[in-house]
Amino acid sequence: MSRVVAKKICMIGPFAVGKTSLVRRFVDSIFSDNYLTTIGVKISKKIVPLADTQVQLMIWDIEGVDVFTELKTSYLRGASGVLLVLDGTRPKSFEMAEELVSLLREHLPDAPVIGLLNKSDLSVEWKLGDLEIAAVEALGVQTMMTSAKTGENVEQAFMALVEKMDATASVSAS
Amino acid sequence: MSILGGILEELGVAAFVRLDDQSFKLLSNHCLWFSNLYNALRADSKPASEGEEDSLVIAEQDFCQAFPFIEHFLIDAQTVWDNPGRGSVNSGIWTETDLDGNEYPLEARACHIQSQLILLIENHSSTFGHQHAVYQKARNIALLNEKLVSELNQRQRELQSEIERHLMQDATLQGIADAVSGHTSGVMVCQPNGKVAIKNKALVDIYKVTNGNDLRRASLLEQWMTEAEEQYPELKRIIETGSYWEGEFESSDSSENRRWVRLTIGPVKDKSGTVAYYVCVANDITDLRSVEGFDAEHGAGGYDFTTRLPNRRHFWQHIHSLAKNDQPQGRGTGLLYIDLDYFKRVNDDLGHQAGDFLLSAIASRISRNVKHNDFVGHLGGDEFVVLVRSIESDAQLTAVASRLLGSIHEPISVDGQPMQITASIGISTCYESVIDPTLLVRQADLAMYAAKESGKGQSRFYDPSMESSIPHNIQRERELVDAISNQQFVLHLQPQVCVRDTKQFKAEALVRWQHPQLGLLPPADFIAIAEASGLIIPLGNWVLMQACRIGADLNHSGKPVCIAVNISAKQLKHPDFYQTLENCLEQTAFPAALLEIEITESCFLEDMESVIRLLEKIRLLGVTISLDDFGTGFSSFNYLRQLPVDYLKIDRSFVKELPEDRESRAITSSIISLAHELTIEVVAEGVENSGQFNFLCGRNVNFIQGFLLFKPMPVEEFVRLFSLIEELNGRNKWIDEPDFGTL
Repeated sequence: MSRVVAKKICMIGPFAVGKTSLVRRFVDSIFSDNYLTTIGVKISKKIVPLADTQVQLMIWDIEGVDVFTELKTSYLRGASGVLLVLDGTRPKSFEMAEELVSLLREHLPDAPVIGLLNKSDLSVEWKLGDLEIAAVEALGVQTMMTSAKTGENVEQAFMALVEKMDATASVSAS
Repeated sequence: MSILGGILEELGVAAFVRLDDQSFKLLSNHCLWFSNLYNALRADSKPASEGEEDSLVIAEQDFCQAFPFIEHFLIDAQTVWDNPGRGSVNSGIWTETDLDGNEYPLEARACHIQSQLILLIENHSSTFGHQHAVYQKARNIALLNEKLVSELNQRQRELQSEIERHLMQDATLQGIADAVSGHTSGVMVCQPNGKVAIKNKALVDIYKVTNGNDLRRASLLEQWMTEAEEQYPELKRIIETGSYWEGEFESSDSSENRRWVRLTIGPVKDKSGTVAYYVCVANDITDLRSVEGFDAEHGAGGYDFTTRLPNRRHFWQHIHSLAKNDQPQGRGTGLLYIDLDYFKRVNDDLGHQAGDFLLSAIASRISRNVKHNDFVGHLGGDEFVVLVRSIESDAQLTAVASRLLGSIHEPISVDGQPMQITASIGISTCYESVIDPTLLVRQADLAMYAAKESGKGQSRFYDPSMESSIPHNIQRERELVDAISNQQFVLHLQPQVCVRDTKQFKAEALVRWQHPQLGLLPPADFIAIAEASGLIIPLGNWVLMQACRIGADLNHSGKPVCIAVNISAKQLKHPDFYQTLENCLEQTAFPAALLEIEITESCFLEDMESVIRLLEKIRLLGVTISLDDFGTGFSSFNYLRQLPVDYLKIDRSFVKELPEDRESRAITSSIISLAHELTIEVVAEGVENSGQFNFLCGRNVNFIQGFLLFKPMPVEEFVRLFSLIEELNGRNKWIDEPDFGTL
């Protein structure tokens, strides 16, 4: 029987970018078009396989950042990895990426971060060009286009983060 | 149930005492909501045990397994429990879901009560719906607002471009006025002196003017510049130099009510290159900003997206906060305003992605070269600032500027292309006890502009005389228009001497302005203004025609000399250039084989393919092509192979360092050797001493040009010299004794 290890990951990003929808798609395989804002934190769990290990993900879905709500950095404590979610249809959401990555580097210097450019199904409204994507990647954040609605890259994004976390842990251990 | 238990149940609070064994004792086991939730979340393991007096006692491990959030919160809680003086700590809201899918918005608090360590878990279910609805509504509005702002900005830019395009296509003012009369954006078209040519109703509405036919203002443009100056001290300079600007600032209507306005201003120039109109589009964004929760001083997102440096808003917030405190006696503050030179070329040539990469690299270099306490900001575009506090003398700032110029100029590889970039730095200082932020920034901006005007790649301290330099340039631009009409220019010729074959003798045509009051002005005094204003096209055409005339006369009198003419990138890319060139050759009967055009690498920026096609076409006429200033900026042998050029001119900056500087020696040798491999001949310009001359001759350079041999000279003098050279050639002197100093 393979061993189970628990890992905390955080979903962060501006408000209304689809963090909760991504978690629901990943954990429960469901999606709703209605925007229901998150207040505070909600923790979901999902076990995923990684080589001969079972990883129990504790997914912290953290309330989105807006002019009234700052990212509560204490929520990041102990996280092994972060999914930074941006909305590809809203230029304003890209502008906050840099600030959020700065906070992550300050509070979680070693944790891998993947940037999810969400709502890829909304191709007509998509406003994230190569320039913006390059700017996010210049922050040291690998990016993936995702859609909680269609499920595009959702599973892959979480698994990519798990693998990065595993690689980071291996480097730290050695 | 005790009264206390009843009260806690009513309040939805589960209260625990932390016991010595780290477990938690529920103060009232009648807290049904908690018991149910805990048992649901702990359904896979043992139920809570009963302690003394029938209270629930939960081991920390079990508590944390049921509530992972609590495990996290206990770290904060412990710091309070370990330090009674710290009061309490709150966890913030988190949500748990029971097996039936019911959600519980919870909040934990840790505190001391009567020396007991207390953990309270509050269930917000009864009030959360209302709180959530408020947040939901606020965020829905914020989303809608974002969309509106995005669309508004886009439409405003489109309207601005459309009006400018119509004006440039000579549409009538009345036609444009009719087209914008009902537009929801405020539109004003005015002359540089502020006289309004077009205004629409929306603009009148923004400014609450009672008489719709008259804005009752001497110049709204001037008012805007004054109002926006606090946030955008460079605005005045941008407008006066005829560039596009957009921004947001507070503006007063006729009743002195303050409104937030988003304004775009774009110049429209006439055919002579003079600004004829400013097209201004304004939108009242007061309501949008209030929904955004925006504040000029304390807005969100204080960092630039690309460079990760504090942005303009952040910078202003910082400098204003500094200004609130007096400076220590004898200490001052310095501001360095940094603008990258030719940055637009990088964006145009290599794309915005490369441009952003370069900005990030430069931002990093600037940050590395200042002290930890110095403030570095990225104001936008290619403009940066460094604020240095507590200086004792200007010399400290000179040292900082020198470090920055050196660091910025270090080679950098962008998309595999090696390049070097320079910057112009303006420096202002304040040694008074109180800083005036606006003045400090405006003076640094003016000094930066002066550094650019003086040739770029340098720093300048603010000097009050700079206050009049912009009007001076505008005046100079107007004089240039007259000079072109009145043909106040003359051409001088500077020989380029072939080192190995004296039969090849060339000359570069160099323009001088015979200014009616100032005398003979060198190109450095007017070419940059001509370039910026577009006057370089008529001026360049005059030079080309005149050079062909001189060359034809020389040829006609039995002195066939190849004349090299400088062609600017703007001139070369002008759709009529090829036709103009053909006309010049035809009208003057100057043999095309005796004409050489000197272009710079900037000609190949943007659309390299079409420039190559044009040059190949020009070469078919028989005209030769010379690539000027090679070795600076974007020099790359990778693309040199593709260019149809016959000559390459090594930039004088490398020649100047010869033969002492090892790097210049290596670069010069490499350029000559590789050019020869590509069958391109090399001209070295700026040769001023025999050391340079001998080195270059030793490297087999083909042509030498410089003060060591000949200065630029009037045509008559050149004719006399030509005769002398012919005579010397007859004696075969050059080949045996290259002693040009005697000439």
